[in-house]
Amino acid sequence: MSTTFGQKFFDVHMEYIRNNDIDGMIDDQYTQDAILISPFDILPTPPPHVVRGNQALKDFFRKYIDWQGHIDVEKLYNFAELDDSINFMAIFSANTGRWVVGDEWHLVEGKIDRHYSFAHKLV
Amino acid sequence: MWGDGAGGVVERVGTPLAPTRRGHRRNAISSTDEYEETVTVSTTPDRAFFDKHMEYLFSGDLDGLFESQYRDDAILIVPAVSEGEPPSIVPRAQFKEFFGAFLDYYGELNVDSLDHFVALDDSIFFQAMVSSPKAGRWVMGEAWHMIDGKIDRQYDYVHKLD
Repeated sequence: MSTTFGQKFFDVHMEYIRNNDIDGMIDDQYTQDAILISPFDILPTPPPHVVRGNQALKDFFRKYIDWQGHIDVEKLYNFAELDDSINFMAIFSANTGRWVVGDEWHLVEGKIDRHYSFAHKLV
Repeated sequence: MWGDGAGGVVERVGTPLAPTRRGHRRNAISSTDEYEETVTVSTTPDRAFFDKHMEYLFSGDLDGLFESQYRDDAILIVPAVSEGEPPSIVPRAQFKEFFGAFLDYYGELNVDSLDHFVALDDSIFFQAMVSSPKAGRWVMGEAWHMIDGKIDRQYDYVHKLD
């Protein structure tokens, strides 16, 4: 059960992803001018990708979810939060392989304005 | 689709090779019509900030590092390196102890590759493959959120590879 702001925010984030409601997630949880830095190689040019703004984030996340396909989370760990930050790591398997990822969200007024995404393919 | 439309833009950022402990680097640049390009070169202030950071770290000048690159209210969030341990939230007052423990844990640390380096106005981001005789091979990442040119939040990512 969620007990802190960060845990609730995280749970809502995952619910959006489970429901494939990318527009809702970006509109609700990211500032209009939010920036994502992503190492995932899902665009025509090599990563890292710097994704700026509401519509670009929606497009990027849809592409990312499609690219990964079904995601089986094996381990969720190292969850930490501050008033302005939420961090976690995860190991998961997807259509693209097995990954260890880290997501670091910097928040302003309860919304993500910088999303730093780390990833390393294990298999 | 990814162009500079009303909703936002995706940038392709040149990826420099970083440094070994001696601070060598290179830069890669590419371009397409669809992506707004940002070129990160070793002479930019942000890259210089990164290079100086590594210089402080590897020379052991932790006081210099903290004084020049971190705000007084800076906080590190660092994943646990051992199974089952909680992550660490480290306030500025505990930096010296924490960084000292970090350097002791890894010992002689070699940066085998620097990947995905990005510098924004308020952020520096990178991943690295590192190894040491004492601690083995690791993938690491750091994101530095900055205010007025100093780090206020540092987010770390670590995973042991063997």
